[in-house]
Amino acid sequence: MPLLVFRDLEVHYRTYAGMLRAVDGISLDLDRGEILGLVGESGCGKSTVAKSIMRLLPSDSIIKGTISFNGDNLVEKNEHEMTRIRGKEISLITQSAMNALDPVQRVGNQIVEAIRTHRKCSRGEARKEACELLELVGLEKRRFKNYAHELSGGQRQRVIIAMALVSSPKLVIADEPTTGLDVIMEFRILEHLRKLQSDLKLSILLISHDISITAQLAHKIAIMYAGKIMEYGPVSEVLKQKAYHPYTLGLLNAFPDIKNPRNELISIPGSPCDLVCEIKGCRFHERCPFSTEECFIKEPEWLNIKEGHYVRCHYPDKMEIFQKLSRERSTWIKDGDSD
Amino acid sequence: MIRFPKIRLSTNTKIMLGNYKKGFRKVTREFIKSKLALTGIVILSVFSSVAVFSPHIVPYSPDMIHYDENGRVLSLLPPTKDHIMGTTFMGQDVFSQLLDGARGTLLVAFLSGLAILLIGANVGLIAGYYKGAIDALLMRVVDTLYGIPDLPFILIIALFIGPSIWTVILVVVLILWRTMARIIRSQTLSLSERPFVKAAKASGAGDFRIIYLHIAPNVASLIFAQLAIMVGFVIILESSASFLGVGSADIRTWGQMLQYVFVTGAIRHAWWWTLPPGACIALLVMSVFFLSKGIENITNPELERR
Amino acid sequence: MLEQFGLNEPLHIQYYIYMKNLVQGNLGTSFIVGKPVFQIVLHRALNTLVLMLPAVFIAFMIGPVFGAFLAQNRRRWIDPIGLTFTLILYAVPIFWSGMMAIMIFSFKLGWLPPGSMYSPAFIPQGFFHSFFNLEFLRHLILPVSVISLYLLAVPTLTMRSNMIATLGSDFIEMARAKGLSERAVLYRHAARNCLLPVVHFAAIQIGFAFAGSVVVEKIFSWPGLGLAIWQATSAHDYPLAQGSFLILATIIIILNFLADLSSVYIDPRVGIRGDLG
Repeated sequence: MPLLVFRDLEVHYRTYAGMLRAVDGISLDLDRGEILGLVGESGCGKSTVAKSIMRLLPSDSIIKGTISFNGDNLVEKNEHEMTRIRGKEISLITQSAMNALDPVQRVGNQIVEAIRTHRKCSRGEARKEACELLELVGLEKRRFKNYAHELSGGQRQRVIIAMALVSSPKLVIADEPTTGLDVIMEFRILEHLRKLQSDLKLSILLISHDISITAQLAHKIAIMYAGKIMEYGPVSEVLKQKAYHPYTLGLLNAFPDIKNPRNELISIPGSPCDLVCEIKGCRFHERCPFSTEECFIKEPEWLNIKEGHYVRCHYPDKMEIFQKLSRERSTWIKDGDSD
Repeated sequence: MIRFPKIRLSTNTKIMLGNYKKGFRKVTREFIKSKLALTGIVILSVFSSVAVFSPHIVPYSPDMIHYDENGRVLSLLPPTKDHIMGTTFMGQDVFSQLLDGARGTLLVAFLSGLAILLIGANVGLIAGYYKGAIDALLMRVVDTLYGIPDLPFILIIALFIGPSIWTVILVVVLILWRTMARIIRSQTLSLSERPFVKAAKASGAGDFRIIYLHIAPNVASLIFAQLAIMVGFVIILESSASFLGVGSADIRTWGQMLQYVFVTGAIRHAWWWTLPPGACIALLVMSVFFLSKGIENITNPELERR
Repeated sequence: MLEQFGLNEPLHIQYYIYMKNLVQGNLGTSFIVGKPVFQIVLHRALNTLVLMLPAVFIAFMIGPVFGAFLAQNRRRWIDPIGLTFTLILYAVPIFWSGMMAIMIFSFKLGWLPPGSMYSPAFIPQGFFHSFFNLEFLRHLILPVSVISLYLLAVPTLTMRSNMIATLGSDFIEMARAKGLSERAVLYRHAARNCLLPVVHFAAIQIGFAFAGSVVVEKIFSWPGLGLAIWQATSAHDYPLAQGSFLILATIIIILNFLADLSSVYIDPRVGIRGDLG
């Protein structure tokens, strides 16, 4: 049985402009020991998914659907029950670790706090364990008594990772774990995460706007757009130019290919649609170069095209043509359009 | 038919006025939407109109002493039909005095506020814009005697130059302009590093123009929000000083009324004389505070999500 | 008499003499009372401190707690009510609230004495006894309460607005994600981070508080420094006025300094140099 299951999850925010549908019906699986990458543009709802698992959404939000963790529906749990799960069974590595640490406490003590919240043990024991965790993520033991502002961005990020591993959680949610770090640091952290995952058999939900790091780390990938999942399948398939959805194809184009560094980058014109208004038809139809009348009227179904590979599009059978055409610049940028 | 001479405004002045007008219009629109600022301004307007028109709306002359049929002074009378707030120790009508006191209190508030605005804002703008030696000099001036306690200082100064309403205004402005200058200076400092100022300098605009045409409109909202807070302080300081007897002797203010209350020992039971002046002071300060909060909210709309 | 006090010397000589005396601890002799100013001022200073310090302490203990409480409950009905209440505390002039308090609690209800440090018939035996007895405490209640209420406003408001800002920050979210109870999040993480600006304003407020001691002491006939200044200025007793003013200003500066010093301990980011790294 999969560890984490989303079924028709919806999250709405109440705003001045109306009801904002940040997450509008997603269904995904995450198996044990697996890394699932959730990829999408800024504002497509990925962070909301992370927060909704932990039930850390602001109070003016509405959540519907099912998030099944180990058989329990997290949506139905109350605050008290959630406090017991957070940090213990499910832990979070946030984005912008710059600010995720309390500035007036030593970082070591914050790890100790995480340990002692979920387990009865003495201060000394907790300290020892915290030091071990610091070493595990590649920091020296003496960093225990540093304050957050005395550490570099990469070091802070590793402290956060150490905190996330405190009670050997079943699920780790990594929300943009390397945003804001330079490439070298990013590489090191990813390698570390990969090693930890294989050593400790962690299940990770990796959320990012960066396809390349998802490609490095994840086993499965889900592409999210405007609150819905457009494509979901094994990384080996989806990212090796065998993707089905036009959006995925567009994203792949926007990344430099090391094999063909001379290739021009083609970006997807337009911007994500407004999540407040009611949208009939496919979310992507305005920016999709292959959209038709049907895409405008009817919402595509969630189709299972192969074992473990799903896509939300009206024309999965036209996959080969799409794949070929998407590599041409002219498909995306019509004459007269601004880049 | 009177013909007014056509005033030739330079293009720059026209732009500056245009900027101010635009900002003003925007602020006015937001103002009407903000309940806070509206409440503040309504109360303030009520008080101001009372102050201006008080000689015409008082039921009696504030200094008039009232006698009963037997020729005895109507001292410390509780509220009646004739005297809706009762009378003072000297037999004067409290309500009339209250209305009259509005004049003095608001006069001090207004004049001091104006002086603090003109001196403090300008010093702040100049120090923040020019930086360097001018800034250091002006800040030295501001920083000297920074820790002086306000009320005792008023007393000491009054000792040397005599108590009067102008003493109060002088000392109050002396104490408070510095805070205004500091705040405006730090804002000006950060603004003068911004691209639009550098662009203006590059296109050859003179310093005076840059300060008053470009920077000042941007700091204007901060200035007025701060000014409102300062005026709150002014009101309290003036009332306290008048209460202690170093304020005005001839111009009536609410603080001065309370001095008489205390000195005549009327607090034993004359609640009708004690309550109104203090309540009015409190209301005035609150209205000014609302105003400043309202201005602040307009210029920095907070996104209260959590 | 002019000769006796050296007042017929040119002004700059007078100033020099004053400074010389000052360094030696001699603040001159009071015109009116005839005793050395230093002696009078010291005694009065103690009275003022005994009055103001408990009030300041209470205000800065209750204020932040109340502010944190309002911040936590900012969506419920109690917030606007609490805010209005705090605003009223801030806007009401302290001498007026003092007068109203005396009127209600002393004259109408007769619960508490209307002022002074002691009743007329009470004679304190010795230094220690003069402060640690019931009579004194009875007289202390009303003025301290009035002052505390007045001073409560700023720490409450500061704490509240800081808490609201802090509660939205990333590390608070992280703390929740660690599984900490809302209570732990509030007190262990949010509150400590908010304290620095409160302490900063506390330092400023102490100055205002002591400055306001003039009016408070007048209302309650409390024989402290503030009253001394007023009495001296009314009687044109220059030495006493200058002396008390000087000592009052010194006390304020010392207390300010202590408050700033404590901020170094609260927030590790503030170095002794005073910058936020």
